[in-house]
Amino acid sequence: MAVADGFEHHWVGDPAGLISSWRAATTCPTFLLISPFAEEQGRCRRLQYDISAALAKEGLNGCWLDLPGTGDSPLDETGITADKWLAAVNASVNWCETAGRHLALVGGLRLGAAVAIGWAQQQFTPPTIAAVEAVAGPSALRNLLRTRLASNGKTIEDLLKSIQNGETIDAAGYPLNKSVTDTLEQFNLPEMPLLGITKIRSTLSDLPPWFQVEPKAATALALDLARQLAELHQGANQC
Amino acid sequence: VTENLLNQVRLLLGDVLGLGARAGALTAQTALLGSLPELDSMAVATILAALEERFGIVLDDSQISADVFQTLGSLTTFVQGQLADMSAAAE
Repeated sequence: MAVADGFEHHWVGDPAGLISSWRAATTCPTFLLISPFAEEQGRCRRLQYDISAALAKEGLNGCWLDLPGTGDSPLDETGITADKWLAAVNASVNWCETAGRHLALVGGLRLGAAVAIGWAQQQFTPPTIAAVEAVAGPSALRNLLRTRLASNGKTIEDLLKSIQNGETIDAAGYPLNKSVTDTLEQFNLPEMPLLGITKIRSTLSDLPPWFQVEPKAATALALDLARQLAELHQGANQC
Repeated sequence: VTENLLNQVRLLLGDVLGLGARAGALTAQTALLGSLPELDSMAVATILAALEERFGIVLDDSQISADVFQTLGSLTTFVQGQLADMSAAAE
Protein backbone atom coordinates (compact mmCIF):
# COMPACT_ATOMS: atom_id res chain seq x y z
CA MET A 1 0.00 0.00 0.00
CA ALA A 2 1.32 3.43 -0.90
CA VAL A 3 1.31 5.86 1.98
CA ALA A 4 2.47 9.08 0.38
CA ASP A 5 -0.81 10.11 -1.20
CA GLY A 6 -1.88 12.54 1.48
CA PHE A 7 -5.38 13.52 2.53
CA GLU A 8 -8.72 13.55 0.75
CA HIS A 9 -11.36 15.86 2.23
CA HIS A 10 -15.07 15.43 2.99
CA TRP A 11 -17.58 17.93 4.34
CA VAL A 12 -19.79 16.19 6.86
CA GLY A 13 -22.81 17.35 8.90
CA ASP A 14 -24.65 20.65 9.30
CA PRO A 15 -22.92 22.84 10.41
CA ALA A 16 -20.23 21.05 8.52
CA GLY A 17 -17.00 19.69 9.88
CA LEU A 18 -14.15 18.91 7.53
CA ILE A 19 -12.82 15.37 7.56
CA SER A 20 -9.35 14.79 6.19
CA SER A 21 -8.94 11.10 5.44
CA TRP A 22 -5.70 9.42 4.35
CA ARG A 23 -6.32 8.76 0.67
CA ALA A 24 -4.35 5.53 0.44
CA ALA A 25 -5.89 4.02 3.57
CA THR A 26 -9.63 4.46 3.00
CA THR A 27 -10.29 0.72 3.30
CA CYS A 28 -8.28 0.41 6.52
CA PRO A 29 -9.73 0.55 10.03
CA THR A 30 -10.47 4.23 10.71
CA PHE A 31 -9.24 6.30 13.64
CA LEU A 32 -11.44 9.41 13.77
CA LEU A 33 -9.34 12.08 15.47
CA ILE A 34 -10.53 15.56 16.41
CA SER A 35 -8.14 18.42 15.63
CA PRO A 36 -6.82 20.93 18.17
CA PHE A 37 -8.32 24.40 18.58
CA ALA A 38 -7.36 27.96 17.61
CA GLU A 39 -3.63 28.75 17.42
CA GLU A 40 -2.66 25.18 18.30
CA GLN A 41 -4.57 23.87 15.31
CA GLY A 42 -2.35 25.69 12.85
CA ARG A 43 0.78 24.65 14.71
CA CYS A 44 -0.23 20.98 14.67
CA ARG A 45 -1.13 20.62 10.98
CA ARG A 46 2.19 19.09 10.02
CA LEU A 47 2.12 16.81 13.07
CA GLN A 48 -1.38 15.60 12.21
CA TYR A 49 -0.28 14.83 8.66
CA ASP A 50 2.74 12.91 9.93
CA ILE A 51 0.63 10.95 12.42
CA SER A 52 -1.75 9.87 9.64
CA ALA A 53 1.17 8.91 7.42
CA ALA A 54 2.62 6.81 10.24
CA LEU A 55 -0.75 5.19 10.98
CA ALA A 56 -1.14 4.31 7.31
CA LYS A 57 2.09 2.36 7.52
CA GLU A 58 0.41 0.35 10.29
CA GLY A 59 -2.60 -0.28 8.04
CA LEU A 60 -4.77 2.31 9.80
CA ASN A 61 -6.62 5.34 8.47
CA GLY A 62 -6.00 8.42 10.60
CA CYS A 63 -8.92 10.77 9.78
CA TRP A 64 -8.88 14.28 11.22
CA LEU A 65 -12.03 16.26 11.95
CA ASP A 66 -11.96 20.07 12.03
CA LEU A 67 -14.88 20.99 14.26
CA PRO A 68 -17.34 23.60 12.88
CA GLY A 69 -15.95 27.09 13.39
CA THR A 70 -12.36 25.89 13.65
CA GLY A 71 -9.59 25.37 11.14
CA ASP A 72 -11.00 24.96 7.65
CA SER A 73 -14.58 24.28 8.79
CA PRO A 74 -16.90 27.24 8.29
CA LEU A 75 -19.09 28.62 11.07
CA ASP A 76 -19.23 32.09 12.51
CA GLU A 77 -17.69 32.02 16.00
CA THR A 78 -20.98 33.34 17.39
CA GLY A 79 -22.50 30.04 16.32
CA ILE A 80 -20.07 27.73 18.14
CA THR A 81 -21.75 25.61 20.82
CA ALA A 82 -20.80 22.39 22.57
CA ASP A 83 -23.90 20.73 21.09
CA LYS A 84 -22.85 21.64 17.56
CA TRP A 85 -19.38 20.25 18.14
CA LEU A 86 -20.74 17.01 19.57
CA ALA A 87 -23.23 16.81 16.68
CA ALA A 88 -20.31 17.17 14.27
CA VAL A 89 -18.58 14.21 15.93
CA ASN A 90 -21.82 12.21 15.64
CA ALA A 91 -22.16 13.16 11.99
CA SER A 92 -18.58 12.09 11.35
CA VAL A 93 -19.11 8.75 13.08
CA ASN A 94 -22.27 8.22 10.99
CA TRP A 95 -20.38 9.22 7.86
CA CYS A 96 -17.81 6.51 8.57
CA GLU A 97 -20.62 3.94 8.65
CA THR A 98 -22.39 5.16 5.51
CA ALA A 99 -19.11 5.52 3.63
CA GLY A 100 -18.25 1.93 4.46
CA ARG A 101 -15.36 2.81 6.74
CA HIS A 102 -14.68 0.58 9.70
CA LEU A 103 -14.55 2.94 12.68
CA ALA A 104 -12.06 1.47 15.14
CA LEU A 105 -11.35 4.42 17.44
CA VAL A 106 -12.44 7.97 18.22
CA GLY A 107 -9.94 10.37 19.72
CA GLY A 108 -8.47 13.80 19.57
CA LEU A 109 -5.36 15.89 19.94
CA ARG A 110 -5.12 18.65 22.61
CA LEU A 111 -8.60 20.23 22.94
CA GLY A 112 -9.88 17.71 20.41
CA ALA A 113 -9.18 15.04 23.01
CA ALA A 114 -11.42 16.77 25.55
CA VAL A 115 -14.19 16.95 22.95
CA ALA A 116 -13.74 13.24 22.17
CA ILE A 117 -14.14 12.43 25.87
CA GLY A 118 -17.22 14.66 26.05
CA TRP A 119 -18.69 12.82 23.09
CA ALA A 120 -17.88 9.38 24.55
CA GLN A 121 -19.66 10.27 27.78
CA GLN A 122 -22.88 10.67 25.79
CA GLN A 123 -22.67 7.25 24.13
CA PHE A 124 -24.17 4.02 25.41
CA THR A 125 -21.44 1.92 23.84
CA PRO A 126 -18.58 4.19 22.77
CA PRO A 127 -15.75 2.78 20.72
CA THR A 128 -12.18 2.90 22.01
CA ILE A 129 -11.37 6.51 22.92
CA ALA A 130 -7.88 8.01 22.75
CA ALA A 131 -7.07 11.35 24.37
CA VAL A 132 -3.78 12.47 22.86
CA GLU A 133 -1.84 15.12 24.81
CA ALA A 134 -5.19 16.36 26.08
CA VAL A 135 -5.83 19.89 27.29
CA ALA A 136 -9.08 20.83 29.00
CA GLY A 137 -11.31 23.52 27.54
CA PRO A 138 -10.90 25.91 30.50
CA SER A 139 -7.09 25.64 30.19
CA ALA A 140 -7.24 26.30 26.46
CA LEU A 141 -9.44 29.33 27.15
CA ARG A 142 -7.07 30.62 29.84
CA ASN A 143 -4.13 30.33 27.46
CA LEU A 144 -5.97 32.38 24.86
CA LEU A 145 -6.98 35.04 27.38
CA ARG A 146 -3.38 35.31 28.56
CA THR A 147 -2.55 36.99 25.25
CA ARG A 148 -4.25 40.03 26.78
CA LEU A 149 -2.63 39.94 30.20
CA ALA A 150 0.70 41.57 29.49
CA SER A 151 -0.84 44.42 27.53
CA ASN A 152 -3.85 45.90 29.30
CA GLY A 153 -3.54 45.11 32.98
CA LYS A 154 -6.85 43.26 33.17
CA THR A 155 -7.12 39.94 34.97
CA ILE A 156 -8.48 36.73 33.49
CA GLU A 157 -11.59 37.24 35.63
CA ASP A 158 -12.05 40.79 34.26
CA LEU A 159 -11.80 39.50 30.71
CA LEU A 160 -14.24 36.66 31.33
CA LYS A 161 -16.69 39.09 32.94
CA SER A 162 -16.51 41.36 29.88
CA ILE A 163 -17.18 38.40 27.60
CA GLN A 164 -20.13 37.26 29.72
CA ASN A 165 -21.51 40.80 29.38
CA GLY A 166 -21.56 40.43 25.62
CA GLU A 167 -18.17 41.82 24.64
CA THR A 168 -16.04 40.05 22.04
CA ILE A 169 -12.37 40.00 22.94
CA ASP A 170 -9.68 39.60 20.36
CA ALA A 171 -7.15 37.07 21.58
CA ALA A 172 -4.24 37.41 19.17
CA GLY A 173 -6.58 37.44 16.20
CA TYR A 174 -9.05 34.89 17.57
CA PRO A 175 -12.41 36.40 18.55
CA LEU A 176 -13.56 35.16 21.93
CA ASN A 177 -17.23 35.70 22.69
CA LYS A 178 -19.71 34.21 25.15
CA SER A 179 -20.59 31.36 22.80
CA VAL A 180 -16.97 30.26 22.39
CA THR A 181 -16.05 30.60 26.07
CA ASP A 182 -19.20 28.77 27.23
CA THR A 183 -18.35 25.96 24.82
CA LEU A 184 -14.75 25.67 25.98
CA GLU A 185 -15.79 25.69 29.66
CA GLN A 186 -17.88 22.57 29.04
CA PHE A 187 -15.05 20.33 27.88
CA ASN A 188 -13.26 19.33 31.05
CA LEU A 189 -11.00 16.34 31.46
CA PRO A 190 -12.14 13.72 33.97
CA GLU A 191 -9.78 13.51 36.95
CA MET A 192 -10.34 9.80 37.38
CA PRO A 193 -9.51 7.33 34.62
CA LEU A 194 -12.63 6.35 32.71
CA LEU A 195 -13.30 2.93 31.31
CA GLY A 196 -12.47 2.73 27.63
CA ILE A 197 -10.59 6.04 27.53
CA THR A 198 -6.84 5.94 27.09
CA LYS A 199 -4.71 9.00 27.70
CA ILE A 200 -1.71 9.18 25.42
CA ARG A 201 1.30 11.35 26.15
CA SER A 202 4.73 11.33 24.61
CA THR A 203 7.76 10.96 26.83
CA LEU A 204 10.01 12.71 24.31
CA SER A 205 11.70 15.75 25.79
CA ASP A 206 11.56 17.99 22.71
CA LEU A 207 9.11 20.86 22.95
CA PRO A 208 5.99 19.80 21.01
CA PRO A 209 4.84 21.90 18.04
CA TRP A 210 1.80 23.37 19.82
CA PHE A 211 4.25 25.22 22.06
CA GLN A 212 6.30 26.52 19.14
CA VAL A 213 5.47 29.86 17.54
CA GLU A 214 6.98 28.63 14.27
CA PRO A 215 6.71 24.86 14.64
CA LYS A 216 9.41 22.65 13.27
CA ALA A 217 8.81 19.16 11.91
CA ALA A 218 8.19 16.75 14.77
CA THR A 219 8.66 13.42 13.06
CA ALA A 220 9.79 11.56 16.19
CA LEU A 221 6.76 12.82 18.11
CA ALA A 222 4.41 11.83 15.28
CA LEU A 223 5.89 8.33 15.20
CA ASP A 224 5.67 8.00 18.97
CA LEU A 225 2.04 9.12 19.15
CA ALA A 226 1.05 7.02 16.12
CA ARG A 227 2.71 3.97 17.67
CA GLN A 228 0.80 4.45 20.91
CA LEU A 229 -2.44 4.95 18.97
CA ALA A 230 -1.86 1.87 16.82
CA GLU A 231 -1.33 -0.23 19.94
CA LEU A 232 -4.94 0.50 20.92
CA HIS A 233 -6.23 -1.27 17.85
CA GLN A 234 -6.64 -4.98 18.11
CA GLY A 235 -7.24 -7.16 15.13
CA ALA A 236 -5.81 -7.71 11.71
CA ASN A 237 -4.85 -4.61 9.78
CA GLN A 238 -5.75 -5.91 6.37
CA CYS A 239 -6.72 -3.26 3.87
CA VAL B 1 18.25 33.04 40.36
CA THR B 2 20.20 29.85 39.85
CA GLU B 3 22.21 29.41 36.67
CA ASN B 4 20.54 26.05 36.11
CA LEU B 5 17.04 27.51 36.14
CA LEU B 6 18.14 30.45 33.99
CA ASN B 7 19.50 28.00 31.46
CA GLN B 8 16.30 25.95 31.44
CA VAL B 9 14.17 29.06 30.85
CA ARG B 10 16.62 30.24 28.17
CA LEU B 11 16.35 26.91 26.34
CA LEU B 12 12.59 26.88 26.56
CA LEU B 13 12.38 30.46 25.31
CA GLY B 14 14.63 29.56 22.41
CA ASP B 15 12.50 26.53 21.52
CA VAL B 16 9.15 28.35 21.76
CA LEU B 17 10.33 31.35 19.74
CA GLY B 18 12.53 29.37 17.35
CA LEU B 19 15.56 31.49 18.16
CA GLY B 20 18.07 28.84 17.14
CA ALA B 21 21.67 29.80 17.93
CA ARG B 22 20.52 33.24 19.14
CA ALA B 23 19.13 31.61 22.28
CA GLY B 24 22.66 30.91 23.50
CA ALA B 25 23.42 34.63 23.55
CA LEU B 26 20.53 35.46 25.90
CA THR B 27 21.69 36.58 29.34
CA ALA B 28 19.74 37.48 32.46
CA GLN B 29 19.93 41.12 31.36
CA THR B 30 18.68 40.55 27.81
CA ALA B 31 15.54 42.59 27.19
CA LEU B 32 12.58 40.51 25.99
CA LEU B 33 9.24 42.31 25.57
CA GLY B 34 9.63 45.04 22.99
CA SER B 35 13.09 43.87 21.99
CA LEU B 36 12.56 40.36 20.62
CA PRO B 37 10.39 40.68 17.50
CA GLU B 38 9.22 37.08 17.92
CA LEU B 39 7.73 37.85 21.33
CA ASP B 40 4.18 38.95 20.51
CA SER B 41 1.12 38.43 22.71
CA MET B 42 0.49 34.91 21.45
CA ALA B 43 4.12 34.01 22.07
CA VAL B 44 3.80 35.30 25.64
CA ALA B 45 0.78 33.05 26.22
CA THR B 46 2.59 30.12 24.62
CA ILE B 47 5.66 30.61 26.83
CA LEU B 48 3.46 30.63 29.94
CA ALA B 49 1.74 27.41 28.86
CA ALA B 50 5.07 25.78 28.01
CA LEU B 51 6.53 26.80 31.39
CA GLU B 52 3.58 25.18 33.15
CA GLU B 53 4.06 22.01 31.15
CA ARG B 54 7.84 21.87 31.52
CA PHE B 55 7.96 22.60 35.26
CA GLY B 56 4.66 20.96 36.22
CA ILE B 57 3.30 24.13 37.77
CA VAL B 58 0.14 26.20 37.51
CA LEU B 59 1.11 29.84 37.17
CA ASP B 60 -0.74 32.47 39.15
CA ASP B 61 -2.25 34.69 36.46
CA SER B 62 -2.73 37.53 38.93
CA GLN B 63 1.05 37.89 39.13
CA ILE B 64 1.60 38.04 35.38
CA SER B 65 2.34 41.47 33.96
CA ALA B 66 4.56 43.05 31.34
CA ASP B 67 7.26 43.39 34.04
CA VAL B 68 7.64 39.61 34.13
CA PHE B 69 8.71 39.63 30.49
CA GLN B 70 11.08 42.59 30.78
CA THR B 71 14.26 40.47 30.73
CA LEU B 72 15.24 36.82 30.78
CA GLY B 73 16.27 37.37 34.40
CA SER B 74 12.85 38.77 35.41
CA LEU B 75 11.09 35.86 33.71
CA THR B 76 13.34 33.36 35.49
CA THR B 77 12.78 35.11 38.83
CA PHE B 78 9.03 34.81 38.25
CA VAL B 79 9.35 31.07 37.53
CA GLN B 80 11.54 30.60 40.61
CA GLY B 81 8.90 32.34 42.75
CA GLN B 82 6.14 30.16 41.32
CA LEU B 83 8.19 27.02 41.97
CA ALA B 84 8.83 28.15 45.55
CA ASP B 85 5.12 28.88 46.07
CA MET B 86 4.28 25.42 44.75
CA SER B 87 6.69 23.62 47.07
CA ALA B 88 5.52 25.72 50.05
CA ALA B 89 1.93 24.77 49.26
CA ALA B 90 2.88 21.10 49.03
CA GLU B 91 4.43 21.10 52.53
